[in-house]
Amino acid sequence: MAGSTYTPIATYTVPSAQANYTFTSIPATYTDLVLISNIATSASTGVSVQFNGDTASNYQFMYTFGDGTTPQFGNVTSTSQADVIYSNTTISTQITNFMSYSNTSVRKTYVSRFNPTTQFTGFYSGEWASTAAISSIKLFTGSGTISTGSTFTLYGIAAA
Amino acid sequence: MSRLGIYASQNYPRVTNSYESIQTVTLSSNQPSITFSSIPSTFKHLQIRAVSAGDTNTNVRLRFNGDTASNYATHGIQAGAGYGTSVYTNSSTSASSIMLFDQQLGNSTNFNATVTDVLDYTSTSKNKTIRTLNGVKGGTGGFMYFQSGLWFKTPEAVTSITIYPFTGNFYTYTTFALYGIKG
Repeated sequence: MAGSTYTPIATYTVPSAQANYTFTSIPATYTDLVLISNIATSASTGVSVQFNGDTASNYQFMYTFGDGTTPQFGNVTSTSQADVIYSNTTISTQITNFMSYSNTSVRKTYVSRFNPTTQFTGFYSGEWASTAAISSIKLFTGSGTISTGSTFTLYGIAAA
Repeated sequence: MSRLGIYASQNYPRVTNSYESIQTVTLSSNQPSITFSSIPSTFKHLQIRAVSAGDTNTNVRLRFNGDTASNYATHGIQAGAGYGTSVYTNSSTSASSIMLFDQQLGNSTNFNATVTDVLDYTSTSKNKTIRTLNGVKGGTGGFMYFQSGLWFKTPEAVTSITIYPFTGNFYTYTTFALYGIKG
């Protein structure tokens, strides 16, 4: 066995409203990353990621959610960012799994559960069409800002 | 990292020693299945984290303790580009395995991301339940699965888990990692 893992790498608490935050210098010593977001935003919005500063159209993602009416599905291809969180003005906790982020043999994939309180619940899945190890993750809103007091904690999980 | 980020990170929660890596299988050649065997009974729950791809359009299934009888049930929500209906449900109530996800778009480039929780796996008085979150995205299509599964054989502790594509093989670089969570 490799022993205990699920190790906190960094935590960021938003000191004042801001549109983005970037985890940098992510060590390549883990297998997966887990991002726990306790977040509210000034508007109802998706929160996207870009890896390693890549702003080209190398991302694609899907989402589905339910709000008590007809379930919804979306499919976004060849875009410059991938959504991993959906937030609104009420605080909510959401979890994103970035799989094999340091494995340079495979493209990077993720699955994420989102549940903006008072709106709906659903999940995202997506891909960054790159085999590069992820060393930075930029989080940014589609509209509005991330509210003061929101926290992001990034964990590393090491496989045996 | 910003100065504020550094300050905040100095107060991050410490490791609680409640989540441990048990075993990892990474394929160096195409294989029809992977098995975690001799799973220790020292945890409360298990989690399987995987990136996988296969050479056949099929679904990926799970069995406990080598049980091939009709002792499994699956219910789920699936969504994807390529289905006639974008979101719909699936179920089976007397199958010989639990259906985890579809690797129909799986190939040697686009890997499935999967996180599966196996709850209270050592109980000898309760049936075993699992939940899975999965997705694969490739080209203009993709699939997503949110599944729950039940193993309703007379309760016994889970000591082995086999995961396999219904037909064909997992590709090289496919990785399944098993973790234990203490309770």
